[in-house]
Formats: sequence, C-alpha cells, structure tokens
Amino acid sequence: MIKSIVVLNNHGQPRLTKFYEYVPEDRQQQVVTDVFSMVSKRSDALCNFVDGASIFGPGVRVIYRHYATLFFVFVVDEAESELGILDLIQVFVETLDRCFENVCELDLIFYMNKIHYVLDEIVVGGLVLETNMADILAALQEAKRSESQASSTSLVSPARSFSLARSYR
Amino acid sequence: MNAKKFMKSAKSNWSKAKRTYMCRTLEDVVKAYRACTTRSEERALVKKESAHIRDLFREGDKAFRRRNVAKLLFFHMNGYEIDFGMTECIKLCASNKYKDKRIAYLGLMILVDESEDILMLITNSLQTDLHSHDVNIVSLALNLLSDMASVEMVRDLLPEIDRHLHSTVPYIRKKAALAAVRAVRKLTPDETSSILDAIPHLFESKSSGMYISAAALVSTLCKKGTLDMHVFQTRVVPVVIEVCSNYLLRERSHGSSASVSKASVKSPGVHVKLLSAMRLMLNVGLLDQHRDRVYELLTVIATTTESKTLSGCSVLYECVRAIIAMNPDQALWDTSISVLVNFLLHKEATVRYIGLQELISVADIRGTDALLQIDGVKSKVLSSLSESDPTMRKRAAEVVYRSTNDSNCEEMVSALLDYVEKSKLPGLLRMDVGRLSPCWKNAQPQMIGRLICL
Repeated sequence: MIKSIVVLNNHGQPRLTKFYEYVPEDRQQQVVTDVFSMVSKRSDALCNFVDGASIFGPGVRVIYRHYATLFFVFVVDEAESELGILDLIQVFVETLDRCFENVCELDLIFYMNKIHYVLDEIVVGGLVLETNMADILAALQEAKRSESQASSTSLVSPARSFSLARSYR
Repeated sequence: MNAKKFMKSAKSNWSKAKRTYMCRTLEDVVKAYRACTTRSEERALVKKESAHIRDLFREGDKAFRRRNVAKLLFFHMNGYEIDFGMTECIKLCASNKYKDKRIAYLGLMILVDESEDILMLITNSLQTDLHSHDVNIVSLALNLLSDMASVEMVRDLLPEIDRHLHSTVPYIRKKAALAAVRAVRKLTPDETSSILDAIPHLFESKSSGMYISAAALVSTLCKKGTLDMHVFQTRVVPVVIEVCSNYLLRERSHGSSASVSKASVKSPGVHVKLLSAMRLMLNVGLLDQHRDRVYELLTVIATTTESKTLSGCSVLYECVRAIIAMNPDQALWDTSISVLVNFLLHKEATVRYIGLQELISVADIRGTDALLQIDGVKSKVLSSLSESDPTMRKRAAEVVYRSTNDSNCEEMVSALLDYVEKSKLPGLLRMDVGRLSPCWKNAQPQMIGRLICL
C-alpha cells in the first residue's frame, strides 16, 4: 500500500502532499523535511530506493524520481513492488505533462487542486487505480466536461486565469 | 443625527461589499505568498487571508466558496492549521453542482481524518451521491469511501458498494472495487462475504484499471485470511488464473526478427499487480490442478521475458517473488536465481538493488549451495561490493556473506575485509566477521592478521 506521496522541489518546499494513512498535521511537515533530507543528498547515479524504516517504521521504503527541479517521492510498505512504483511515478508525471503541456513547477504551485484531481485518477486510498494513460486522460476529460456543464457565472473566466499564469512564467 | 446613522451604515455596507468583491483568486494569493521574503511575512499573510475567508464563510457567501477552499488547501500544504475549513467542505458536499462537490470532497480527504466525528455528518450526503445518475459524482463518493471511510461508514454503505460492484459502467466498477478493499480491511469476513461473489464479474471487463483494482481486491482478501475457502477455490481462483495467463502472455510483443525469443512488456503496471495477486493466492494455498497451471505460467514468464528494459525487469521481479512464494522444484528455483543474478549486471542501479535484495531472501530459503550453482555468481556478487551507493554495498555484503562456504572462503572473506576497510564502519565489521566465524577454521593466518589490524 502507498502510505504517502510527496512532491517537493530542490529546496525542500512541498508542492503536493497526500497522506493515505492518517498523519497528524504537525507531523506532516516533519515528514516533508525528513523525506527531503533523505533524497536531496543523493546523486542521480544512485538507485531510486531509500530504506525508510528509521522514520516511517519497519518495512517501509521510500521510492523517488528526480525531474529537473522536482522530487516525486512515494512512501510505500513492503506489499508494493519497487519497480512497479517507479513505473507509476513515470505514469503520473507523463499524465501531468499531457494535462499541462510541458508541466513545470509553477503548474504544480498554481493548480494544486488540479494536480490532486489527476492523482485521484491514478491512486485511490493508497492503491493503484489505473496505469493506462489514455484511460486516465479520458476520465479527467469527462470530469472537466461535467464541471463546465453545470457552470454558473464566475467572475474570472478560466481562460483568463490560465493566460495570467502563463505570462507569469 | 440621522445623517450620521446613515453614514455609519453606508460605511459598514461598503466595507462588507468590498470584502466580498475583493476576494482574491487562488493565483493572486499564491503569488503574494511567494513574494513574501520572511517566514513572519508569510504567517501574517495567511492570518489575514484566513480571517477574510472565515468572514466570508460566516456570511454564507456562495460565489467564492470553491476558490476559498482551494486557498485553504494551499495553506494547509504549507503547514498552517485551518480546521475551520472542514465545516464549509461538508456544506459544499451537499451542493448539487459537480464542481462544488469535487473541491469539497478533495478538501475533506485532505483535512479530515477517519477518526473524527465530523465525518459521520457526510454519511447522508454520501448516500445521496452514491445514488446519483452522474457517473462523476458517484465516482467522487467512492473515492472518498476508499480513502477514509471509518468502520461505521463502510458498514452503513456496504450495500451501495455491493451494488456498484455490479454496475454496468467499468469506470464505476473499478472504483467500487477499491472501496470494497477498504470494506474488507475494516469489517469482519462475515460481513463482506458478498464481495467474494462479485470478483469473477469484475475480471470480465478487459480494461487495465479493472484488472488492477480487481487484483488489489483479491490480494486484500488473501491477506485478510479467513476466506470462505470453498467459494474461493471454485469460483475465484480459476477465473484469476485464466485472466492472468491470458493477459500476461498476450500483452507483450516479440521482437521483429524471428530469432529473438524474448518478449518485451510495454506497460508493466497490470502485469505486476496480477502477479502479486497470484503470489498472495499461493500463500493462501491452491489446489493441485491450479498450482500446476501457475507453475507453467511462471516458468514461461521467467524464461521468456526480456530483461533489458526496466519494465521487463519489473515483471521478472514480481514473477520471481511469486516463484519464491510457490517454493517449487529445483529447476524453477535455478531459473529464478539466475534471473536475479543477471539483475546484478543491469545498467540501471535500481535493478541491481532489487537483484541484491531478493538474492538475500532466496539464499535464506535455499542456502548457500543453491546460490553457488549458478555460473559466474561469485564474480558478479563480488563486483557489487564496489557499488557507489552505500545501501547497495551493504546489501552486497549480505549476499557475499550468504554465498561463502568452506571452498571459497578465502576469496570471499578477503573481499569482505576490503569492503569493511573501505567503508570504515566498525558496526559493519562486527556483523560481517562475527557471522563468518564458521569459515575461520580454513582461513589463512595472514587474513587473521588483517582482521586484528582493523
């Protein structure tokens, strides 16, 4: 089972945190710090697994991938296959890339809720839901359609807020 | 006097209107937060914005609720307490708009934990949503159930989960399967016996997500134990094995040239989950005829999957784990050990790590001799001692220790001593040397000298 998913940048700032087992709020920030101290010092040539037993309890492994400025970190128990999780991280990142056209850190900062929606189509309740990208994208598209169908008048149209973020970048 | 009163009320109305219509967007708040240079500035910003949001919530504002919940989630991620957001999320859940519900459920999943009483308040709106005609709304409710439902909630809503396990929409079925996983974990086997009956039906639809979540359900049932063995053996196991053998052998492509006998795997996700479900079924125990089919299947996968790519390796790795659970005859053991030994030479460090880790457990079960029977195992294991990653070197030392016997003692021990000298960790020394003591009777005096130097 996946215990938690943390995305953080090279400076250790959280960009996405999701806990599938209850962690008290003050502990959550500690987890981010711990995870960062684990993965940040490792060079990219080393393997993508770290033993997390000292922090999360026996049998827990920390599996991560490093993309440009971001670390995608999955904390899992022994029931999950390490290599399977590595593949899952790749699926997650590729899906984000398709949703945001060349995803970058700023997308994660400004559209945190959307990133959560993407994640919810891939992992639910700590279990893998889907690894086929076409199906994930179709489900997201469907949800988006459903969301706009019942749209009321909103003061800032989505198109405008979108272009704002682009110019900021 | 009247004019004064009028001015006062106009002023208060104006400030109220300003507060409402000056509600900043999520983007603006994030930008402002990022512009802060010190921690105290950040704190002041969050405090001010939270107070504003709290006022809007109290006034019953409807226009900006979604935006404000999103802001609160952003603050929460950065470590601020925003407990007052929960009630608003619960109110939003009851809205009949999908986009309100979407952010409300997200907020609940992030802010609330399963032990909180507040969760009981949403059981009713969950019940309504599970009956909705909109697939997306049902899926939100199922997501929440599998994410955080408490014992009482799954008990109350189990009939709904059951109903959705038989839904005609595959997307709902796969989400219901994961909600059923939660139910199996939380409730007693008696209460969830109906779930077992739904499994054959789940495997009928041929989508990857369906296979993954159905496999997760089977795995959870096996882990929980105390299954109705009769139903399990006669109705569940045959279906799972059938699906596994069809899927695992079909969803792979052989190279273009006929001489290539190895098959590559494109997306290993489903393979890995099906194989791990099979491993857990083997742990529960299978009838002989089923065991034979699994044996055949595992042999084919272990011998014909290519090991160059990461995806091929993840299938092989899961296959080897299933083989270990099966505890088969000598031939299949040898196959799986050579698969692992080949991992040690892979270009990806991750695969080498997996190889070392699994060799440790194989050696613990089968003993040193089984390991040494494989060609070239010694040199491959010794070369792993020079890995750049310390955790890998540590595992390599474990494997070296396990593949040491009387005949190769000298070579292995001297390599281990090199390793201990280089790593300069006295703790490791005690571990490795202490356990090798049976081999010391053959050791050279020179080596003992080196040991004393340490």
